[in-house]
Amino acid sequence: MDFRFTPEEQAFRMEVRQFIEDEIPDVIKGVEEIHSSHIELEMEVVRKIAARGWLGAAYPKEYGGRGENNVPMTEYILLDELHLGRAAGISLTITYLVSIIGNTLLSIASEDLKQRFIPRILNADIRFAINYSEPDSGNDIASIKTSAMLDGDQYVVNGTKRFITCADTSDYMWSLVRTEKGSRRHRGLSIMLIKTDSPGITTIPYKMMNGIETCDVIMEEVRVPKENLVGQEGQGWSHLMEALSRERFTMINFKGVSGPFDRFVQWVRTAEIDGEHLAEDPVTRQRLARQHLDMVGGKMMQLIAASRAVHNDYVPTVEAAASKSWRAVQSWPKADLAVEVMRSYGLMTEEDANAPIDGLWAAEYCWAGHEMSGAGGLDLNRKIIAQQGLGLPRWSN
Amino acid sequence: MNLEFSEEQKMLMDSARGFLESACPLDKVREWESLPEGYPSHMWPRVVEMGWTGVIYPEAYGGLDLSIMDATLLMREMGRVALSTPFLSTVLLSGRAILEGGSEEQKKDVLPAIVEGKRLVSFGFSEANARPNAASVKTTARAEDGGYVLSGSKHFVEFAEQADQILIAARTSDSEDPEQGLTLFLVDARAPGIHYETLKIMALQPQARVTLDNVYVDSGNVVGEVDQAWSVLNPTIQVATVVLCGYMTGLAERALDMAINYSKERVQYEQPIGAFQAIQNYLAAAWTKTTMGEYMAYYAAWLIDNDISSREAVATAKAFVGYASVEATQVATQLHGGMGATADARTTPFLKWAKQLQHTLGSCTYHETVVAQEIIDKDPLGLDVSHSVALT
Ligand SMILES: Cc1cc2nc3c(=O)[nH]c(=O)nc-3n(C[C@H](O)[C@H](O)[C@H](O)COP(=O)(O)OP(=O)(O)OC[C@H]3O[C@@H](n4cnc5c(N)ncnc54)[C@H](O)[C@@H]3O)c2cc1C
Repeated sequence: MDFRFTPEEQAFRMEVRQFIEDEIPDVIKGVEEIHSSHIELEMEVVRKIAARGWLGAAYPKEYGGRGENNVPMTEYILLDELHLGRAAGISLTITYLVSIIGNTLLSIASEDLKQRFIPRILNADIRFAINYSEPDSGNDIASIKTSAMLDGDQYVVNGTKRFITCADTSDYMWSLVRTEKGSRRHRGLSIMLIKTDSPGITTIPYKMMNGIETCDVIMEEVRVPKENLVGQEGQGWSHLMEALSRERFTMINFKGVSGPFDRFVQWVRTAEIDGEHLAEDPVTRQRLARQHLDMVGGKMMQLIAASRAVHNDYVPTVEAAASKSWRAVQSWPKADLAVEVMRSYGLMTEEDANAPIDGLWAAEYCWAGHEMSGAGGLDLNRKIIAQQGLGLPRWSN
Repeated sequence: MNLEFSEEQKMLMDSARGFLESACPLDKVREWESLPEGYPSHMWPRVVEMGWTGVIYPEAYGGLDLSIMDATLLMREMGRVALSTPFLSTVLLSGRAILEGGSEEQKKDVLPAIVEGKRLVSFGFSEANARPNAASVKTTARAEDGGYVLSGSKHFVEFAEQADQILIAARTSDSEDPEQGLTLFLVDARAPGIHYETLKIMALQPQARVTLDNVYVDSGNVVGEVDQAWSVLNPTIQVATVVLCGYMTGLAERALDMAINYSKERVQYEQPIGAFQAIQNYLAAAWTKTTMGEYMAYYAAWLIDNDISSREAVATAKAFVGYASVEATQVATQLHGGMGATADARTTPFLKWAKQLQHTLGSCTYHETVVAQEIIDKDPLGLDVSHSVALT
């Protein structure tokens, strides 16, 4: 066992850190998700990352990659540093592009789709939204109703999708649809790439309580060329599972939770309220320490997942689910604690110029609501741990 | 960054597991709970035979000279069968303190004897306030007749009445700083003036309160430098705490294994209870914490093995594993229903041991106060430090 990065990995980490300092503008730092209002700024940064060759290291040369081995660690370090550098939105964009969509395309798509999309992904001149959820289908994604029926050499898509982040700012939507008429649940599903500006698509953006935006997407008689089908028709469920496990592993970085908390502890060291030094209060000290344990636990699970992925050539689905569920479990408690320690000042938002720590903790408190549901909430991730990890029986499908 | 076990470590764990599973089947472990001597004394010679008593001693004293990480893995295996032995007190604490601070002559006398199973040395450190810090030590040693006279009392001393010798920490001078003025003495367990009062405790382990009533100790039996014992005790206790986390992890893992198996077999409402989502939630949560704690122990062990400052990591691991192992054994008991609550349930020794060890070498609350000092009062492991160590 070695908890140290190799000198090469360490050098890469420092290079990424320097890049973040030099090239990422402050307005898009501290943003936990992709903010529609800064899309162009973000894409500029992602293109600079692409220009450094950091996106395509593991991809085969014929699609514009570098065909290198042992890159999971570089990918891990890149995303980890972006989270630590408070540029989670960039990390998420990269995750969508390279880890989820690019990798899944590489593994299951037709040669034509690979040629069309992968070079653009590696150059970061394309944006995707992930188009799964519907008003009546959240965790139970197998219940989706959106249909895509073949008519000549086009699919005709009808249905409504919900919470489709960046649908209004993307070029394509990576979509889960039902291609077999009358099919139920896992059967008859397919994945396809739908061009966002196709006739018949209406996107309706709205704000979440943490300020980020997401969209409803209404699709009426939308025509999608047959070539945009990803993988096999009717095999959408297994393709989805592959994409989802990549998503959980790469998208869910615990530093998004522990980073703000570590900075909070740093703030407490010198903070005073009406002449009282917060760091001297024994109850505060005890509770911060207790929360610190749980932060270390989360970071540790992320490392376990990364190590198993890198050294065993294995998709750490169970470890990633553990990391994700822990993130959900810890999100509110750490915000509760920070707000408690800051007393009423913790409730002041970033809009108030006098808010300590730029109103971060009011925002963190609201952010936590999303942690419970994004990427499969607490309950679903625990189900993955129990059934895939511990071998317990299935309780539903 | 690589968190995988080495081939040697896998072999170490496999051979330990093979031996312990056949020597300590669960039904036996449960029967041993009613042994009059308070622990399965016949198992100690077998542990000795396996060579484990020398795990962290140099070869010069008959040891295996393995790492703290390896010792942690070995203890994890012992935890998986809830094996009760004097390993903590004799090998990890007293023997290790003598290795850290003793003279060559003392090491040659004591360490091979421990390795060969010919001697038990109990660890007379903790006192009335039951905390593993220097300030807790109030026993005094005053210089007299070319030696020292010890007075005071030691609480919760494991294997005290079974031991041949006892390593006593006492105050040889007063100081503002509680970490100054401590000295270690290697004392014959039958020396005049030592009295034992057997304690009745929850887990299967002999413990006693040791009273020192003007016990005379020759100055040749001082271990390390006079007044400077904390510099020996502190690293010794750190090492033992980490290795103990391995044992606690083993307890939790085995209890969860039992619970997982039971919930696949036990049928209620015409289905295995493990098919109920609530049951899956309990198990998934307990598995998650147990696994995190396991690697937090490895991390602390790795820091010690690599001479990297580890005070925060050790305290964090002990507190976290303390909570995790207690929770896991509680869940395991709960999932066995009424059977879990019977006195001879297979989970019971694990439940008791986890609680016992949560308080051994400092409770969770105690270690949290240490963590608070480390993260609030000192430069944090935090963000501005270089990230060459993966967890920071
Ligand atoms: C900010 C944000 C961005 C998002 N972005 C996207 C996106 O880009 N693309 C996309 O496709 N989706 C996106 N989502 C949707 C997200 O994936 C869903 O919210 C998630 O799948 C949960 O679905 P739901 O909200 O309908 O909740 P439901 O599934 O209706 O769940 C409601 C509650 O019931 C619980 N629950 C459900 N089933 C069970 C069960 N079997 N056992 C126990 N408890 C259960 C859930 O845990 C939850 O607490 C986004 C969501 C948010 C909040």
